[in-house]
Amino acid sequence: MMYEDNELVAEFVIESNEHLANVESQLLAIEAGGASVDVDLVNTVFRAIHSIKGAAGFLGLRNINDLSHSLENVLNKLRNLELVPNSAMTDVMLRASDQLRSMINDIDNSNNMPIADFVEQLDQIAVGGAPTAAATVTETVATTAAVDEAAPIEIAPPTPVAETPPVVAEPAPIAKAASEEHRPEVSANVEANIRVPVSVLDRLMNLTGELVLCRNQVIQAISCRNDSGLEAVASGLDQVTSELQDAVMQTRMQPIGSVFNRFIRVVRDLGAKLGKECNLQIDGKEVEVDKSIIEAIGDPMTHLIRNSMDHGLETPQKRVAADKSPSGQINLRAYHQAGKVRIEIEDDGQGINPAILKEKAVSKGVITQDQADQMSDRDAVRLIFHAGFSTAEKLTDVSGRGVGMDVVRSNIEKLGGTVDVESTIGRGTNILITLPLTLAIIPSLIVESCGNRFAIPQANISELVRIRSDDEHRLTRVKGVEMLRLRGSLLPIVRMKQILNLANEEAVTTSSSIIVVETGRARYGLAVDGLHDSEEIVVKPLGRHLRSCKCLSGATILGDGHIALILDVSGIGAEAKLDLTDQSDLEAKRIQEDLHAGEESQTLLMFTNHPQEHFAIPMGVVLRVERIRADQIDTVGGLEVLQYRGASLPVMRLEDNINAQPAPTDLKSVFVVIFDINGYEVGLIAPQLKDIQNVSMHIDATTFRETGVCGSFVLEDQAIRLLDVFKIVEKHRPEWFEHHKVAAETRSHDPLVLLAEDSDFFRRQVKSSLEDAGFQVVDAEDGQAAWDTLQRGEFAFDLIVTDIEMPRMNGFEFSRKVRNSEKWKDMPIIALTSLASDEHRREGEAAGINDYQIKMDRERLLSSVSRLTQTDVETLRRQAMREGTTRELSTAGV
Amino acid sequence: MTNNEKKSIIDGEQQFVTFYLGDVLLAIPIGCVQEINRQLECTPVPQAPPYVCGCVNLRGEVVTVVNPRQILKLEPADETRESRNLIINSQGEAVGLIVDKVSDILTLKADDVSPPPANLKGVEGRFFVGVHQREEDVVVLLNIDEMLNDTNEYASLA
Repeated sequence: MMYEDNELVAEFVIESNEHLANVESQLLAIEAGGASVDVDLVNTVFRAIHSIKGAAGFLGLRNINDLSHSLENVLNKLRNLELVPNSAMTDVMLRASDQLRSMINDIDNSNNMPIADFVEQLDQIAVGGAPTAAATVTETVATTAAVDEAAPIEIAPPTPVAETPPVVAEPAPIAKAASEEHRPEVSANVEANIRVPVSVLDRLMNLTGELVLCRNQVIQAISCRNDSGLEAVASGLDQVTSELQDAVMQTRMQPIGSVFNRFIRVVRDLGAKLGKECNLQIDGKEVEVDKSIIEAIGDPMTHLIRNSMDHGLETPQKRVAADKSPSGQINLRAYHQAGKVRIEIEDDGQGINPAILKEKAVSKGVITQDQADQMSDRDAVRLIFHAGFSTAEKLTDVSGRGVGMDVVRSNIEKLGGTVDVESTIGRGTNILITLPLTLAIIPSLIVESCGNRFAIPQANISELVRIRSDDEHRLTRVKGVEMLRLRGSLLPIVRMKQILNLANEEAVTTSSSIIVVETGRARYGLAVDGLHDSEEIVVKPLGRHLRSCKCLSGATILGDGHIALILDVSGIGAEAKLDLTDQSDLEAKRIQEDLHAGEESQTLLMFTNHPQEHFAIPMGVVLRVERIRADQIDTVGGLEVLQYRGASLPVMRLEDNINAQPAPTDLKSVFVVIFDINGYEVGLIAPQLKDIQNVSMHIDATTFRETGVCGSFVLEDQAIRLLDVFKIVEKHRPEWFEHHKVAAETRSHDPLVLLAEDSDFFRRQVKSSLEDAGFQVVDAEDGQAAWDTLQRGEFAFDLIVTDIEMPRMNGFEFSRKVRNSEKWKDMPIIALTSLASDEHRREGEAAGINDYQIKMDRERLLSSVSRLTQTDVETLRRQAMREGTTRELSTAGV
Repeated sequence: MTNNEKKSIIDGEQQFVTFYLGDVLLAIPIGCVQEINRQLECTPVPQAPPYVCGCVNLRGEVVTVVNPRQILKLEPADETRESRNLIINSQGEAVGLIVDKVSDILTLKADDVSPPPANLKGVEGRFFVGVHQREEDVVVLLNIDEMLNDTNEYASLA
């Protein structure tokens, strides 16, 4: 070979790839600019190609030199305004730069690659203007003046270049190309960037990992003894480490634009190939994520974009017929949310038809007909992520490559992310991807089984359930698989000691914790002996001899220097041979059995007032949480107020309101949990926040009973008091609650409410708050009992308030029954949930539920009940007047 | 590593670390030994192949520890005060080897080594590359890379 200096060649490859990465988008921008050529931009491309040419000539890379020379000639004419860019010309130039790229990435063979066609076409353009007969295309190129990469690109109709069929770039080379590109717009503005070899970065990362471990050890050491000097050192070390960790992490962060930019080309080429017009709007290019994620996200995203183009967007004719603009729109957005990166791919195409998906899923045996009938539209749309599912009516070579959305999903999940889809027929589809910022350090829960400790990534954990020995009846066996009854459905249980062969004896069911894990198609409970802390762990790879361990994804070193293996949740699911599609909740729901009552899962905000006293507030009633300096709290007229955002917010202290030890007084900053009570904002001081967790709890309503505390439960051996914020506020500001009394007094009769709720605790709670506000309540312990009560006709109810998750008949079924009945089809129904999700709402709406309220939010429930009963009574009154009879009204009044 | 190739086991003069497994004295090139320590307590790894003892924390690196007795089909033995963990650098990865006792460093020339027997004291000779006959005993030269690779294949089959 003519070149000897490998380092020089490597440098050339890296640099040329950087140039080419920009060239692509720049060429597209030049094309979009049309006749009003941005000479500076052309110059930029020219210089890039010129430097490739120069270096290639120096290294004796003949082909690369020749091709870049021809390309340079065309660019020269363009910048001298001797040529006007058009789509056909751009096509040729793009393909030439693709060829350049593949030669550069395969230097050894570059001199054997065919370039004659490209050179010929380019030369033809340079001398005569148009490549072959394609001069006609010129007119179709719009003359938008703005030259910006993000600007919408006018897509020309399929190029009528005769002898060169438009080559749609294969996914592989694109992927390769983009994974090698480093930074867009490098040549445009000289940035203070430094190229760091990835190996060096990895080393830095490892060192930081060490430091993190070191810190953990120091912290552990000092927590045993109590040396104040050491403590200071430790806190310093803690801070330095965290900062260093952030800084090093930052070096790995790259703007996601490097992935996004390549889609401009994908959309352009695909648009031409499919005969569709499409604007691609890219937002959030500057959002930074870890390099490893940037590299891994390209392929799945390319697939999603291709899907949107192929299946989502309609042809211009169809679009016009559907009263849409002929050119489709794809919006690509990235943004940070809650420490994660969210990416949205939104098209305004035809949407996904859930009915067709259900039909296909049934015919392919993915789900049964029964399941399909019960499935909500939203869930049906999610079927596209199931294995063996191609949404295309007919397979096209664009997206029907045997690569399904299930692969996209599993690829994204491998990165610790999630993908979801929303679609409205005729309006479009929105794909939502959530990704972690980095893969190197992951928050994990440390668990124990048979004396061994393991780490489970928090991303996989959906909730924790504690099983006491007297709860054994919640465990059952279905077809030989151990199952846990959890809120109306059955969850397969995998015992860690069995799946990992940690102990041979049959599981002795003592008290154990079940971690409900979720990954891809798997959702199951992992039974472990004990739970330890949550830790940020540094992932260490396992040696090659341990590759066969499919249940493990790595190892980490804990604060005490011991190793904990990291569990691969999907590996365990596969190992346990959970037939995951079969055991969906739908299937489990059919197995109707009495369920353990009195248990609900609630998302709770947990905090301590005095460090030893734990409290919880349902997240549903929390408006927001703010961190403030302790000196921001003033006392005005005997009341404590918080000065903030130019207004004052009344704040309360727990110890002034309930039996609680006072909070430490030396705190510099505290949290304030803010509630909205009938339009008034009020804060509660929560000195130290512990966690926000979705917990299933057994509420003990007696032990700590007092005004303001509605009960207590035990979590991780800690008694936690559940606060009734409304009662606490009522004590302070009874005038805020006057309106209930006023409302009760002005009502012509006290409305009668039918309450269906399986948990004794909540039933009592809701009933008493309704009764306090002057309503009459008849309660039932589940949907079936409520339905029976309704049918007996003993009472004429004004309104139904129902829980969703109930044994025998759940809230949705109950509501559907009520709506389908002749007699009660207009009865207002309010559903109570622990925390209303959009999905629930949708299903609820379909079942005929009028309103959703959060269980612990007494005030909203009351106003909703008042509103709905009044409307109803008024409707009846009007109706009665029309019919000239007041009989119905008087019976309604009981 | 040239010293492990069959045709010429040793180029010029080379140093070997010798160690005992039971009464078999084995030797491996000193260059592939990263360190010798007493970290014998391993974290067991569920589902690992039978020859893997587990892994240890070697200053922040998670190192797989294997039991050569299992690979060479020797009788299992208990740990003693003389047991050591030999950290081998194999294909850029550190792997621990539990041995009964570490012996001398041996300097050998090509002439000192004769071809290995097919079987030695009941030990399978697959990974032997040669023997060095001394007055009082025999030192067996072990192809450590081969040995650790072979197990790798077993692992992937498992």
